[in-house]
Amino acid sequence: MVDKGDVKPRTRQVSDLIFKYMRPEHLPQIWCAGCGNGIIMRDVAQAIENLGLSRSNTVIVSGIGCSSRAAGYLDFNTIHTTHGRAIAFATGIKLANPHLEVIVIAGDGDISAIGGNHLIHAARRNIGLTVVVMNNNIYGMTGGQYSPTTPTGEFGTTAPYGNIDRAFDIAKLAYGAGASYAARGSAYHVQQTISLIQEGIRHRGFSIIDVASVCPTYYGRKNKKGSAVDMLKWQRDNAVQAEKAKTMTPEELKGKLVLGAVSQSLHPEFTYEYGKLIERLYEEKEQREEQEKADMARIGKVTGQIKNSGEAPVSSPAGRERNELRLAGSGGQGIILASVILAQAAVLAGKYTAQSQSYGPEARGGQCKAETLVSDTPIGFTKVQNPTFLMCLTQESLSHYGKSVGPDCMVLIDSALTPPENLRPEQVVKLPILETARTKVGRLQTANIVAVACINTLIGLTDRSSMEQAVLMHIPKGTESLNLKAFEEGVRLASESLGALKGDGK
Amino acid sequence: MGKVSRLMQGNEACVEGALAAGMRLYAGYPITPSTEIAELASVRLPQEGGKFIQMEDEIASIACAIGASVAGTKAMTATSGPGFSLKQENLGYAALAEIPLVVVDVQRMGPSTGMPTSPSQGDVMMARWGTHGDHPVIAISPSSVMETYEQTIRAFNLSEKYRTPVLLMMDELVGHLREGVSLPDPDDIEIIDRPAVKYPDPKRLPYKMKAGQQVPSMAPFGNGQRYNITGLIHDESGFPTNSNAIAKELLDRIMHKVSDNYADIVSCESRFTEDTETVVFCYGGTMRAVISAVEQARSRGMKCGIFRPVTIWPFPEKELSKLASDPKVGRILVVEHNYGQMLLEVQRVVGGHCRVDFLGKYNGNAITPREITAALFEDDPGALASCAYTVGRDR
Repeated sequence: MVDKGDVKPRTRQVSDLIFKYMRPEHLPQIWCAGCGNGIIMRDVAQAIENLGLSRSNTVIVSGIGCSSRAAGYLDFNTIHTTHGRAIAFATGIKLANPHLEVIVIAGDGDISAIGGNHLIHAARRNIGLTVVVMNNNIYGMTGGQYSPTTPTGEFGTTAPYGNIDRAFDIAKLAYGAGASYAARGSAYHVQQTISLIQEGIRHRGFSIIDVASVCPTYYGRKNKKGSAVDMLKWQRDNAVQAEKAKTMTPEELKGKLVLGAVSQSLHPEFTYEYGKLIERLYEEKEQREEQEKADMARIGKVTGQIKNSGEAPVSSPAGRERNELRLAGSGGQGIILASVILAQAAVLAGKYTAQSQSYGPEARGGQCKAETLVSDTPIGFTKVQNPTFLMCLTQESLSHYGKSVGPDCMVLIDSALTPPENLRPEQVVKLPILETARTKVGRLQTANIVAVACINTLIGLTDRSSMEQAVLMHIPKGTESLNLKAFEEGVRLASESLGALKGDGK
Repeated sequence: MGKVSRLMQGNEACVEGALAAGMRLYAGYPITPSTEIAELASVRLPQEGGKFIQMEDEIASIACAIGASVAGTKAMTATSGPGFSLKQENLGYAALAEIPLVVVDVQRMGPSTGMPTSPSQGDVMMARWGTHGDHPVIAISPSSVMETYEQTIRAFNLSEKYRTPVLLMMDELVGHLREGVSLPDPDDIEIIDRPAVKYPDPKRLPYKMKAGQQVPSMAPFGNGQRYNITGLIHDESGFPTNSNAIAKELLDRIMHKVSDNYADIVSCESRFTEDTETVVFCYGGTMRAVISAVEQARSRGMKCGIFRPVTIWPFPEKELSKLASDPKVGRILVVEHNYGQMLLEVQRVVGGHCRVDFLGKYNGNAITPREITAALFEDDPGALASCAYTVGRDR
């Protein structure tokens, strides 16, 4: 063993690394003679050795392609995923257990073509993964097709006339996407690459080390780059350190391999930030639960007060066993919320209910429709078939839905509207809902609450207390008194109208 | 006691059910009509110490959920048709690598972008055959908000028990429906966890089973048992193999772990089938219109009943076959929101035992009870204008 003397060696014998960090029973590896991937895999093992990471606490994630085989050779928790998706799988592993060291080993096609989206988003998210790219400028496993890092003009089995595409600089791509650590190493520059991988693993946040590999079998042969040794020598002779590269012109840098850190900065790491969020919510949990209890108690108290205030509940027409209510208007009038409140009240009153609404472009400012079914027996079909009650707050919705209602359906419309001719005058109730909300309550936005109170008063869907409780459960905090006023006005409006219908009004 | 009556949306019930089942990670991408699931998960998970992440796309979402499951966390992703198409490759990965996972598809009308807010059941065959290669499938289709809650829990339990992805095939009708629900006391909910590795040992073969096991125990990454997971055909060591014998053995085992446990996995509902001559076959949200229609038809004197798979995959062929061979049953009417997908299964299982008719709707609207009664009585062709109604052969 080389472990003697005072100087701690930076590298161990490869055989030591094999027995400590690899799965000898799965070696020799399948990579071609002269392939750079073996060197890069060894660099990863050496970096792990130098950092003293625990094997049980380290995860290696790979995608598909030559590079992906590394996961099988390394003796850690290893997962060989689908093509391009290694970073996405790794994101789930890291998020589920942030204590794990998660290292992704990928190829250039894997990470920057089919998996390019995951690369840029993991970089942006700054999740604590370390990505080591075995960049051989070609799709090796499938036999030499050009990849996103094949330089323009070079050849592949799918670039028989020379590649027209431009190549990605993966380190710069990741930097552009927000990677807080991006660097480039090469198969030739072993010591530097080991340091860069170490730095990447130690870096708190997303890190990527784009390592120039060599593929003598396909890329080299197709492009007359010589032997594996020739290709490694090319790396030696054309390498420029990042610091020096800053002083060089683009012309001078043409055809050079810039090594070292492209970017290095500190930003909040995703899983750490999420952990803080969980802690914050945990601290607030008691407070939140108390608040919820207090809210419910207050809702109960307010509605209880009204119920016990001596004011008799408004009598309603004989309750039907099944009510099918359709509410329509324009987006922004709170139609859906009104429909939900009616359903909520039905639940509080111990009735069966089904509530749904039409979504889609028409729900944004155009026409809006919501339906609430309330029944004493279980509800089969959940949509309104024969409305027993229709409310329309716009002329457009009235024209649309008014024409299809039967003679027994009560139709509540805003006073400003003109009912279509097919409706009998007796079935139409006109109430100044919008006007009441605007002038008496003081806010047009409360029209839906005025409407809810009108509806319940007119047809006695539930007891008043359930309905008020439902209102309070669904309105924004701090608007209780305003909305209860709206409810009160609605009750008054409908009661007066009922009185008038019965002939005892003024 | 322990029961809370509350108004809940189907998508919301899915999230609450998942939380009750132990989901602690959700990875998703916004898509109508499933978006409320992601929204609520983002609110609720961190409150429960779990994690929500909005991934960059649908593929990343399922990949992230699989990764989380590998690290020992119960995970879910939800989507709709277009996203479900995108998830197919990794669904097969989870099936082969035996990673527990719940994938929700709140179906909408397709193909392609289709009608995003309109109900459909057009993905049920994709649920069965969407990913390439032969693979086991468990898919559940709830018909009410309460059932969504219960079946989401069951989806997690089945996925953990059998180490396989389970699909919750919801539809827009149920996803966007609000109903009153009574949630059970958390202590009364049965929670099943994956078979655990008690003594982690790197030498242990990760896919080797103890005597009597059909599903290997699973160690979370990081617990001390270092092992390999792959989407390649693998042996008990978890490493790829080119052995044809092992390939067959592995596929047989993952198929059999579902088919051999048919009785545990398959669940279906029959109504009024004791005297029935005509059976309406339906599943998911379509059930609601069928209930109303069958009640009406029975009040008009027709002896009809309902057969509804809750677990749509595996298909409940034993129960349906038994029903179809009942000499009283002369006709089965398949009702679904598509061009005729489960119809093929019903025809296959029923064989020539009775007539199989079909009522399908794929114009973006919900099938109405009136349309179903029109098909049952065959007396109102005008009512069927927006449906496809076909009559099968008599026996």
